[in-house]
Amino acid sequence: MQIPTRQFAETQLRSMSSLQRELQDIQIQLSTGKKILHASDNPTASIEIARIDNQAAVLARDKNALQFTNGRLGLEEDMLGESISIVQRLKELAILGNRQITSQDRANLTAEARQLEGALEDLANTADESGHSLFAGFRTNLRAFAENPDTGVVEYQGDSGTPVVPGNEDTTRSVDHGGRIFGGVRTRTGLTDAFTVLGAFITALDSGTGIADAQVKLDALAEHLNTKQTEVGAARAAIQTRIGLFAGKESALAARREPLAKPVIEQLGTKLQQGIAALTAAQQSFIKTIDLTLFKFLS
Amino acid sequence: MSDLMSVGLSGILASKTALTVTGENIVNANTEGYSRRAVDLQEARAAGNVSMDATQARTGNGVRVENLKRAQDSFLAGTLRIATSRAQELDTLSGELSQVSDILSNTDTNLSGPANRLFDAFAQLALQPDADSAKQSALIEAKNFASSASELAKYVESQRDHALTQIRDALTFVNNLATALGGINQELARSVAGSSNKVGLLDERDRLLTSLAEQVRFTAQERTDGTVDLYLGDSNAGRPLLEGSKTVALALQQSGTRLDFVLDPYGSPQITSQITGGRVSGLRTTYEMLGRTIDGVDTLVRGFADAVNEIQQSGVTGEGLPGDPIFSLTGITITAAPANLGTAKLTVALNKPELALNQRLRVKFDDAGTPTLTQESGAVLARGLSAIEDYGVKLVVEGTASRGDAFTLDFISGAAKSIKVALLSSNQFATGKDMLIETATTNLGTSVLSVATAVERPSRPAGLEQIFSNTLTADRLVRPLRPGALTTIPAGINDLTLRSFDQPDLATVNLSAADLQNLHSLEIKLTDGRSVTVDLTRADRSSLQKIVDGLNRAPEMASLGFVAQRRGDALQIVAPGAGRLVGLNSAPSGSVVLRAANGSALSNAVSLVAGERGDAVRLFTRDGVQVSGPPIADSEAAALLTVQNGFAVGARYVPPAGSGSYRGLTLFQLAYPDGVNATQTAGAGLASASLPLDWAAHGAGPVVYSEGTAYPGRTATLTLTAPDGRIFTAMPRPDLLNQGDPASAGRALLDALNAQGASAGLVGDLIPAASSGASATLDLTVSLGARSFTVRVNATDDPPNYARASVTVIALDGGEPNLTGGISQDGRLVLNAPRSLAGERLLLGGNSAATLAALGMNGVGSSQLSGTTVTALPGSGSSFQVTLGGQTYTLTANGSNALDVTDSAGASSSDLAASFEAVPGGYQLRLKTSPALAGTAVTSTGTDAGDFGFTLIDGFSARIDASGLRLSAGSASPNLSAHLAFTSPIASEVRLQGPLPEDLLLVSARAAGAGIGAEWQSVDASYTPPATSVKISVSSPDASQPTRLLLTFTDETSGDVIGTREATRTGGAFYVNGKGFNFTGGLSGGLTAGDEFRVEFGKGRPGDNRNAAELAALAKRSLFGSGSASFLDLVNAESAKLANDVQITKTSLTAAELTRDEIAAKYAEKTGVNLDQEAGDLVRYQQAYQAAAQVLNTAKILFDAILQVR
Repeated sequence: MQIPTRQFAETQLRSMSSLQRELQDIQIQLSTGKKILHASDNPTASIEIARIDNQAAVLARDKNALQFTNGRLGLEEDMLGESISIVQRLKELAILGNRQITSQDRANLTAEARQLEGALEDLANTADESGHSLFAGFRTNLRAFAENPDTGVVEYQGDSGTPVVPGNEDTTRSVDHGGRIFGGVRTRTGLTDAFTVLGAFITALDSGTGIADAQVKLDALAEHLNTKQTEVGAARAAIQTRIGLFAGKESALAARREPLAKPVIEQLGTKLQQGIAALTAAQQSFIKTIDLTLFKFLS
Repeated sequence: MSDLMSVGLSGILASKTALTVTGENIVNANTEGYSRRAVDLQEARAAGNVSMDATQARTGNGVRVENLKRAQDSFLAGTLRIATSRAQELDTLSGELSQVSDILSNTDTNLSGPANRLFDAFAQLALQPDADSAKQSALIEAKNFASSASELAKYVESQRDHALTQIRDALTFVNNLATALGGINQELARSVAGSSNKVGLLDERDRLLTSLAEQVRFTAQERTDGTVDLYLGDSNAGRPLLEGSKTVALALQQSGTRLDFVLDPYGSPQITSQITGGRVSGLRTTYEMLGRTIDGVDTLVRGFADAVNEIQQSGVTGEGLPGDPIFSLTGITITAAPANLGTAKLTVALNKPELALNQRLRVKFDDAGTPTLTQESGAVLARGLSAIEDYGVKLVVEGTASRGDAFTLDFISGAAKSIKVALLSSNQFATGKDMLIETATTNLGTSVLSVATAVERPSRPAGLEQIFSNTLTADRLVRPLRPGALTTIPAGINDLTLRSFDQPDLATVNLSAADLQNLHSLEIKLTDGRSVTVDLTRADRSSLQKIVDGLNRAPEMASLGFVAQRRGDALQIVAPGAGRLVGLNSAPSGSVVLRAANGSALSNAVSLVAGERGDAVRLFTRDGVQVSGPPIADSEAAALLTVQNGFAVGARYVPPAGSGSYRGLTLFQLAYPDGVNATQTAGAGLASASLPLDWAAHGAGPVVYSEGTAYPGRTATLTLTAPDGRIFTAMPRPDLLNQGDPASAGRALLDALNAQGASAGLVGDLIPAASSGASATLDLTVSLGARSFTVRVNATDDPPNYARASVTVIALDGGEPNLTGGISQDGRLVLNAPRSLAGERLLLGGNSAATLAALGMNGVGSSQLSGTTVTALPGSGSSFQVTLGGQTYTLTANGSNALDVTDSAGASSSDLAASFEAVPGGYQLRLKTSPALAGTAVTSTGTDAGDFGFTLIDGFSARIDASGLRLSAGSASPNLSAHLAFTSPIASEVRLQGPLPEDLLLVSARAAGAGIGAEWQSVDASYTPPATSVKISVSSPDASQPTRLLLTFTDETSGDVIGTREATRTGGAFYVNGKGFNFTGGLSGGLTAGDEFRVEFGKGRPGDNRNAAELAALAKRSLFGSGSASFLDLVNAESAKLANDVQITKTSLTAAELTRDEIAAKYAEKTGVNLDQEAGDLVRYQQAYQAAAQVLNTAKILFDAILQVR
């Protein structure tokens, strides 16, 4: 068999080009940290990586929603805690007011009670960082609670909307609306709301009559708020658990992704060395072989 | 000696030739396509008759070069060309597709990245629906997504177009190679075998064949002289590309996205399927695969945009306004097959979005005109309109289809490229839901209310100005050019008036085909200043379709919703019918301008033709209730009530109720008979006692109302002519139509006419002008039955104008007068008696002739029903039939003045009295009805009516009611005729006073469209429709059945009870429809009397994130229903599809290249130059040369020796 000189050279050069291409790919993999440079190199792995990335993005969004909601619920929990403190103080005032005290003392007690009522109203009107009412349901552009100019009673202005938690609609509750937080206080005479209870108490305190009855309702209000706080605490705990689960899922996704997407540096290093050696050998053998011509001897 | 010398010389010459060939081999060792050559040495034998010597005869004459051999292997050469074609095909395909695959797979450049960022933004919007930053971010990301999708589609399309360009270039190269090979063939045929020239030509031939093999696979048939015939593909069947020196051109034929290769395109064109290898095949496959990729991207983008828009439109903004679509993109493209013979045009609506996955469908008509829906492959999906609609494609066929006519329905093309964000403001994100269900905190039951549908909410009031100029003049009109919804009148428009005009100057733009030949571009200027320029320079100007395509692609056209369609040899710019909401700002002649951009006069090329008659103003609610205008046919409704036309999903047609109000707004509908100078004539008299002049029969609305204003340019004339030629009344007056104003004289006259019909009313002659000094007050004495009256006519003018005087009736018995009087607008004294006095004679006795003359009452007699004068009484026994109140009575003459009156049973009747009264010159028949039947029409039916004198009507009535103008005669008259004439540029008018509570769709159901002007008081951009809430109360109506509960649905705004439904303690499903509400829902769980629920709509709820959460959840949702995958997964699948194709191609390419290289190596071994071998040959031939020289030298020595012999 006779190998034409041109073909010999071309074959050698082609194989050297091939080796150089391989080395270049290894170099790019090393520098970019990507195992797959073109999707067509490994479509199956490519689509799997993309799928994992999309799942991770969804997970991140859902987790972010949980964290956001957790923060909002934290505000609700804090608000409830402070509200409970106010009611506790009102109960103390009730005890003081139920004794034989001077009219000045009664007036002082009433004034403090009114201040506490205002403080509770401020708490019920807590706004988020953008100034939107937190407890007005969906009507966040309104003050959640405002005094009815006709009756002088503080009334709920919002609606019964409760925001859904995106991505976690069926499993996680969001901030409650003020109507539910401060309404639905169950007393012996039926359902009432916090500000009606407070209004009645202040009237009783001011007049010195009916304080005992008002005190009972304050107890009911305190119990109601405690229940709400417990509910919020439970919701937050559930969210924390879910966030923990999400973290686990994220780790699992990362673990699935890494072997598909990340090159093993040691393997690449070895391949690089092998490639360099092969190329060097090819180049040297080419030089030596091409030099072995009959003409050299003839000359 | 000489022989030896010759032998030596021949050796030298042969060796020298061999050395030359070897040298040529050496210097061409690296020449592409060079085949190694070698000399074929043969012993040079002496001719037999030359030698006389036996020894001589046994020896030769040295050596000679018999032939120049060219190393070759035809079989391997052919195999190598096949392998080359295959490798080149795959290399091309791999190279072209790899680039697109890399772009599609890269999350920075494909749709995954932008979509994920958009979903991030939606998720943030769901967390903070009231935050401006979240809304802004969502808007930016929506724009980024649209831009990315558009850029991606454009990129893939450009790559596909690039492949097309390369195919054309490659075909040019193929044709050039074939031509060059034809030339080589000619040379080869002439060249000498074994010659250096021939060998060189063969090398050149093979080089060209190799080049050709890289472009396309072919079969070469070689002849003995080295010439080749070429056939496309892998056999020598069919038409040759090259035969001898004759070549046949190969060209590309493109039809839509289909590519065909045509042999001999300019001679006898023949489509060939033999393009199976080489670059051309690779590029064609590239083109096709990228086409599929574009389809895939379009499908995904359309599906995504539709899904986003559907969610967005199901929600409301923080202000409580319904969500407008976030994305806009092109609609369905319907392309008629070029060979269609019929006039059919299709409009298409897609009822099932997932059908868009089919991408393109075909509709083909059979002999009976029945359409069949097929896939592109021809697989039948449904046959017949209803089956096709059941399948999910709603077809409306306009015109007539011929057998074999076909249409392509393209659901996806251009979607990705055209996608844009349609929202103008970030506040338009519909973050919440319209409905909020509230459960009373005091409820004792645990029931949960769910409501699926409730009430239609209006959309944002804007955009009306883009179509209408807010003027009711005819200088600015809107014209739909095909049936369909015209535009949306958004809620919040105040005091809307819509008027349709009969506007002859409405322009349909026609361009003749011939005129288009010289255009470089076409500019269409719209009245609002916008313009559309269509570049025609790249189009084949002989093809109108190109221009049509250009118009359709023009962005402005797209935004206006235009589809240009070809009809015959002219171009019509028409708007799609059921497919889109459209409106063309148009005006009288000149406002739609077509002109050539190069400045050439187009006046001869453009014609503006008159539009057809104006349309009725039809308004619809989104759920299909027609508010105004005449009803439409069910078939029209089916075509009209589509989502694309703005109707709600599941909208059902409800014909107009015809009432004067709509959702609390006063609704005026003014309808006019169609046609300029439309005339209704009663013909030769009122043979019937009732003559309806039914305006509705002329296409106008059913009810005529007005507010008493005269309408521009409108005139009406009613003429009633008595048998003696006296024109009873002629009213060239618009106020005839203004009878809604009771104070108008026209109304008074009509009242008078009405009252006169069966009473004793009188109408005088025209009142003459009074002379100066005449009394301002005239008293006329009138007797009616047993009572008498003074009719006082009091004029304030000087001289007194009794034609404008006031009239007062005073009863002389001091009681309430039962007679009324007035002056008609045309100046007659009119006296009317009530119907209860029908038949009583009204007499003018006791008045001076001067008074009667002054008031035009001279010669005016009683209006009691009378016949004309007959000279003799009818013969005894002759009879005459009349109908009265549906009963037929027979009047029989008995020789006396009184007639016998019998009913249909032959019984004597007291309903009607009939007697002849002697009058000067003969007798007159007087008919008198009983008071109970007063006013009932009497119709003569007998053939002897003339004998009884019933040929004249003294009394008649006129009224305008829901059926139009009705004239009634008290009895038959062959001579009285009625004539009503109209002239009006206005066809109809609708007026709605007050802010619209919901969107209305203005519709033109007429093929030619109509000019419609609109006027409104204001568009309040901040208008928020009043909130609506419905309370659902649970009660126990029957104490004895405590388990039986009643649900009461109450509109809290009006306090109206919408409906009641029974329920049990466990709730149940309900459907309540009424008062604008349409409740479908249910209660589940324990229900207790006293429980209450509220369903609230239309309130701005900035914190409502329910809809935004649905937008965010789209990231996880199946895009095309169950069985599909999420958008992001589908994007991955699309990129993986191409990546897989590329991988397979690369794998195949590697194999093909190995095969090719192996064959090439073998071929090279046969034909290539090895320098070592050539070096050896060089030495060998050099030695031979030296040896031959030595032979020559020996011969010389011998020769010299002989010469030295002495």
